[in-house]
Order: sequence, then C-alpha cells, then structure tokens
Amino acid sequence: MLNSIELSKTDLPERVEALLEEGARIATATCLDLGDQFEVIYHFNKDLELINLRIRIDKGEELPSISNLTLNAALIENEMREFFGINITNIAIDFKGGMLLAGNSPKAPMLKCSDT
Amino acid sequence: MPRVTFPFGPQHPVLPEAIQLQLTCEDEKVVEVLPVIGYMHRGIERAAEKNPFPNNVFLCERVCGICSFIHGATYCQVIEKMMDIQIPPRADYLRVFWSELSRMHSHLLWLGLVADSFGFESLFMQCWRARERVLDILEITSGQRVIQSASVVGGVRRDLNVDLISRVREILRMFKQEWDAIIPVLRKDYTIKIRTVGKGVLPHDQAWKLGAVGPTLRGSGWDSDTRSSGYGVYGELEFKAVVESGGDSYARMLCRAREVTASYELVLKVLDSLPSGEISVKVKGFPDGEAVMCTEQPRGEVIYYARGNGTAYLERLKIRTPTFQNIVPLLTMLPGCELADVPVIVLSIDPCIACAER
Repeated sequence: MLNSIELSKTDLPERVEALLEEGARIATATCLDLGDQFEVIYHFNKDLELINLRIRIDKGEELPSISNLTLNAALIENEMREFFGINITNIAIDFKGGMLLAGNSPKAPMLKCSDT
Repeated sequence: MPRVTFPFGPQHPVLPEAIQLQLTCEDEKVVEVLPVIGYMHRGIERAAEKNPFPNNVFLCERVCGICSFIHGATYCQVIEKMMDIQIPPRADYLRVFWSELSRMHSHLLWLGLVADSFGFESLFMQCWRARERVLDILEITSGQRVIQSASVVGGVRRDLNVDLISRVREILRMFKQEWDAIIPVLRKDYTIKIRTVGKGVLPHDQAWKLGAVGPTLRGSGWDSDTRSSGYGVYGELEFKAVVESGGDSYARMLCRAREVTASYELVLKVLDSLPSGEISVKVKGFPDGEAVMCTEQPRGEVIYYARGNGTAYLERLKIRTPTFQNIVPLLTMLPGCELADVPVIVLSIDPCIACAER
C-alpha cells in the first residue's frame, strides 16, 4: 500500500498548513468512489518525495476546499467535484462545474454507478 | 481607463491546441485573465478502468502526441511498482533512450513554435529540421515517429542491435552539427531577447508556491527535476538538472534549449553503456493495491496513481500532467503585460492542453 497519513476532514486544514510551512506544496489529489464514501488522497511534494494525506467522507458530506491555503489546489478540486460530484465548498477559483465538462456532458462521470 | 474583456483562443495562430483565455485589458495592458478549458477532455482516466491493464499502455500514450512515450513508460512503471516487477536493466536503459529522444523532439518543436510566434521563420525551420533527425531515430528504433508503443508492462518490446546503434550515432552526429549552429542564435539574437527578456516573469518563490513544474519552475531558479530522484537508471547516468534563474520567458527558453543538449548527452551515455540481456520479463497475475509514480516529461513532472483490485481491470488510474500544474502560474505571469506579449508568454509554459485535460 501507499505510505499515507490518515486524517479526518476536520484535521485536514491544520495538517495542510503545517506541510506548506515546511516547504511542501500540493502536487495533486486523487478521488476514489468507495460506494457509500469517497476517499480523497492529497499528494504533496517536497524534495522530490510525495507526502500523502488520506481522508474518507460520506457521499453528500461537505468537504471544505483547501484552495484558500494553497491556490494551486483550485483546479484540482474543481476537477474532483466535476468528475465525482464530491461536495467541495468555497473553491477559490470556482468554475461551477464547467471546467472540463460541458453543460450537456454526463454528470459525475467517474462515479462507479455511471458505468451503465 | 475603460476595461475591455475579449477571448484569446480557443482558436488562435499561436495555439497548437484549443484553450481560451478571457483577457481583460486597459488600453494595451492586460489586467485580468480567466482560463476556459475543457475543449479537449476525452475521459481517458475513465476509459483506463474499462481496458485490461496491459492495454492501457496504448491509451496512456494517447494522452499526448508529443510526450507519448513517457506517458506509456510511466504507466508501465506505476503498474510494475504495484506488482513489484523488476524489469531487466537493458529495458530501463532503453526507456531512458526513448524518453530523452522524446524530450529532444518536444523541446525542438516548442523552440520552433516560439520562434514562429515572434516571426522568426528561419529559426522555426532550423529547429524543426533538427527535430526531423530525432524523429528519424525514433522511427528506425521503434517503428513509429510519434506514438512509439515501445514500452510494455515488464519492459520494452523493441531492442537495438549493433547496426541500429551505428545508424543512430550517425544521425546524432548530423543532429549535433545542426543544433550547434542554432544554440548561439538562441543565446544571443537581438529579436529573441527583445521579445522574451523580462516578459512573463514568474518570481522564484511564487514559482514553487503556485505549483509550477518542469522548465517553468527551473527557469525561476529551482533545481527541481524528477530525474534527480534517480528513477529508472537516471541515477547511474549521473543526471544533473538544468537551471536558469531569470524567471522570464527567455530563461524558460534557455532552460529548454540546454535540456536538448543534456538529453543528447544522455542518449549517447545510454548507447555507450547499454547493458546486454533481456528486454522484458513475463508478467504474472493482476495488479492489487496502489502505487504512485512520478517521472519527468518535457513539460515537467507527471504523476500516475493506480489502484488495482486483483482483477485485469484497474479500480482507478489518475494522471496529473505538467501543463495542468502550469496553468495557475500562467495566470500570474500575464497581468501587467502588454497585449502583444501574450502569445509569447502563453507559449513560454509550453502548454499541452491535450495532456492537461486528458
């Protein structure tokens, strides 16, 4: 398994802030559909090493954006929201669901239930 | 001063691919920029869940038509990491061989495009002529000029014999002669300097904070190149990153030009030290668990995350491409610049929109 630090969503901002202060930056984030829950892995890099923060939230539950801490997260979070329908709130640059998908595109196409 | 907002792209002479920037200007000065993307999204990550995992090599190569080999190789590496597969040393060297040729042709393509963007037609043609030599090598060694399909999970599918290596060396000699004539122009030409020096400055601290990668980051003085981590056989080849400190479009251009020379030298090192032996190992079983692989594409760090579930199909494949990272830094380079400099500054991050949108 991937080396990662498991967190609750409430601990996430503090941990992100600490990583940024240590000189790390967000590289990307991966969202996975686990059925009733989403798993989100935030990948930070520092000195060519990845630091992975892993959280799990229920579907429909709000996940506050970290783009107010690091602007670079804005596009990453917009993409996760569009592809999975994950409820990320207060994204610094908000494309309102129209960053990569068009108005007539399938909604949340990366969800497992959208296979059919 | 009244403000005017208008679209730059998605179709524009300097944009090889479709992206729109909504520029707000006061007279000739850009004051605000908003990117509009999504014209080239193809759902590649979703498609990767529907293919048996060995077939995804061909899909991943189609993320981008320029750095296709590195996409395919990185996909193979993340699967090999997850399945704990050790590929033969010769395969590792051959992956570096094709990766560095890909970097050379990508940077030469870009150098031609940026020369064309400020009307330097002869430099555009010289760069693309030199690039043809590199494409010739890719063609005789892999059978393909653009999408090589040379990597497989477990190694590579093509080998180099003595005759082929001799032909490659001969083409590289011709390439070097042409490239040596181009470098002084890139370094000293008045037209290039006046169009690039001080244009689109990305300050050192901002470059890191905003997530810049590749020559966009190294052009702002950061010695950060994924190859320095020594993945594959870059450690054995004593790779050293190219760094420029200017932070402007000129620095980013010089960074790429010097990387062409560095890649040329790496290709020669590979040919000099290519170990003998097999080029692939047989892969048994299905991927289970998860892994992340970071490699260095021409435009910067690419990240592949994969999760398997013990079947032939992946649970998830996530691809983070360098241009996706370089969009936010671009948004800070443009405000304050003259409208006439927008094309050169946009090109200075070497945008690959097909990569960014996947």
